[in-house]
Amino acid sequence: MKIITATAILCVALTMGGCKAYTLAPAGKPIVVANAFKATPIIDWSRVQTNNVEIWTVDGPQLEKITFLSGIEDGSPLSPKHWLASQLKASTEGEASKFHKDMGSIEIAELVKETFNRSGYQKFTINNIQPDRFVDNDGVRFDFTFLTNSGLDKEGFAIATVIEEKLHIAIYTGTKEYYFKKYKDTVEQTLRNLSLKNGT
Amino acid sequence: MKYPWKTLSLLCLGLVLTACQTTSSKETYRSAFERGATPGKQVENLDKKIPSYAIADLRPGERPELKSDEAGLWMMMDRAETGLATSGNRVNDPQLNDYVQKIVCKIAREYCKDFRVYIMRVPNFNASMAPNGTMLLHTGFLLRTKNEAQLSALIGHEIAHYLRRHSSQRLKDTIAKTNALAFIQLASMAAGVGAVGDMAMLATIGSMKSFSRDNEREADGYGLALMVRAGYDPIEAANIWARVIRERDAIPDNPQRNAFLSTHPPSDERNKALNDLSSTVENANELRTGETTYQAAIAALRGGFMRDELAKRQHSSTLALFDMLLEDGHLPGEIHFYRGELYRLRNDEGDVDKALSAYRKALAEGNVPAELYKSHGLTLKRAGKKDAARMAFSTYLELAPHAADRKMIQFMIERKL
Repeated sequence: MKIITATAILCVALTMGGCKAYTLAPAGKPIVVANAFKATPIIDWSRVQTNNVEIWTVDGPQLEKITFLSGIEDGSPLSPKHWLASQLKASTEGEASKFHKDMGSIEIAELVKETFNRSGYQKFTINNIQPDRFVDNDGVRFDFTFLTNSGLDKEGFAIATVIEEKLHIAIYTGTKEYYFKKYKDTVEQTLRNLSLKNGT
Repeated sequence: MKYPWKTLSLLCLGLVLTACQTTSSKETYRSAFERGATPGKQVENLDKKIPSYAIADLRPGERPELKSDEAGLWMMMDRAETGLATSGNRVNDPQLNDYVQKIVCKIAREYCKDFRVYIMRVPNFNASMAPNGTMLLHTGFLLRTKNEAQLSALIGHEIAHYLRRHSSQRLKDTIAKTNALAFIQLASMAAGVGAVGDMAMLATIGSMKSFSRDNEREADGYGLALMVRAGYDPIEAANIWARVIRERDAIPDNPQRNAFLSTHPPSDERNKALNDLSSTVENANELRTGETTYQAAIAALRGGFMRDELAKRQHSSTLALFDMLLEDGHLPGEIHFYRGELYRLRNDEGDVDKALSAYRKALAEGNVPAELYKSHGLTLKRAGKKDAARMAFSTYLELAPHAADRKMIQFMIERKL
């Protein structure tokens, strides 16, 4: 009986080991984000990281989240499987769009749009693209809206810049109803104060 | 003692395999068509014949009895339908929905109210019919369709599935065959010849797929009769498959589908069968194709469908599709623009020049979206032609003063890119 219990516990441990755990990013404490940025959260966030992708959320990533993508190299896709829950039953055919070092601001916005579309999100509409600063560099900011496959309205904005031929981007998304607005100002402030870990 | 069991098992397998044999595929198309139509007769005479091929007890608005197997299928689809109604990728455009629903009614006649059409923004050539009358139509089909007759062929096919209760037939077929399979697998295991059970499973799967293919053939034949009754030229049903084949053949190293496991007959077979049947309708050339009406119905949305097509990034087949659309001759400027977009987004070697050439053709044709000037500007910028790029951007802002990217474009012009 003891052997069965031990085996069961081992199986559970192995299963749990496969899951990435969220940890606390406490307010006021400086941290390194996505291996690349320095940030000081204004409120408590839950954070989880996979390679150069980090997600912050308070109420759960389906309700609102900030996605940090750092150091995307020329010829690489945005790796949506690490941060964008697919809405598709089957994987999309054809090769995914990739970041190219000669992409301008509008093309970066198109890349984000296509990444959402290929993951099955619907009616992704960019409402405003404008020049902005991100991690103390010239960049682009754009606002957008989209729908999940089940028709849930979502809203978001992204800020991106290209430094030494690598794309850095932060994307904040949330449900249009309540959650996006709930943390928008906090997120804006956090992203304004974001800097590169190693400086530029 | 082992050998008699092996012989018995092989006999069982043989029986299962025999069950796979169906009437010849050509005969299935012909029979379904002729039971709905009468070849060589005037189209007007089809009226009395066609409804008789709906299953005997099917009446308009009928739902299956609660105790039946089919009722379970209906309940599942009723639940799924509530999700479809609010789905994010549903096309809500009222004009297009009205247009398609009217064609459904023209084809279905007294069964019109049994069907609800959901046009879904999916860039694939596909449509489906659920047992409860929920019809899904993908925008990828609408983009590929040349005229109303082709659309009516698809709708006729889907309605034929409903009227012949193919979902219910497939459910019953699956239950019967899997029951038989379970018996054979148990017997073969008991006889110590498990491999026979495995072979029987393969045979059963093949048999179920074969049944599904026959359903499709029947729906093609019956659907053809329904579209002719509604006054559409039947040759257009075959023409759809010619277009599909052309796209398919444009894909390099496209793997052939496994004919044994495929749920649908090969496109070449469907093209030929429908072509042959069409030639038996005497006055077919007097029937209409409805090309102008159809193109007008999708004109406002077609650009969006082409944009979705680009997101698939299946460049070879998309280029073949654009070639066909150009040959159709409707709004060529728009097609050249999206061809240019394909090259710009693909960004392979030589694509900058190809994109610029396509944009120039689009501009020469006229009737292009303002967005073309932005894309033209972005590509000229990539080609190092900064002055020309700024001019294109300026034109874009003149034509689209409230564009979402106005501030960014303005910034690029002021910063001299």
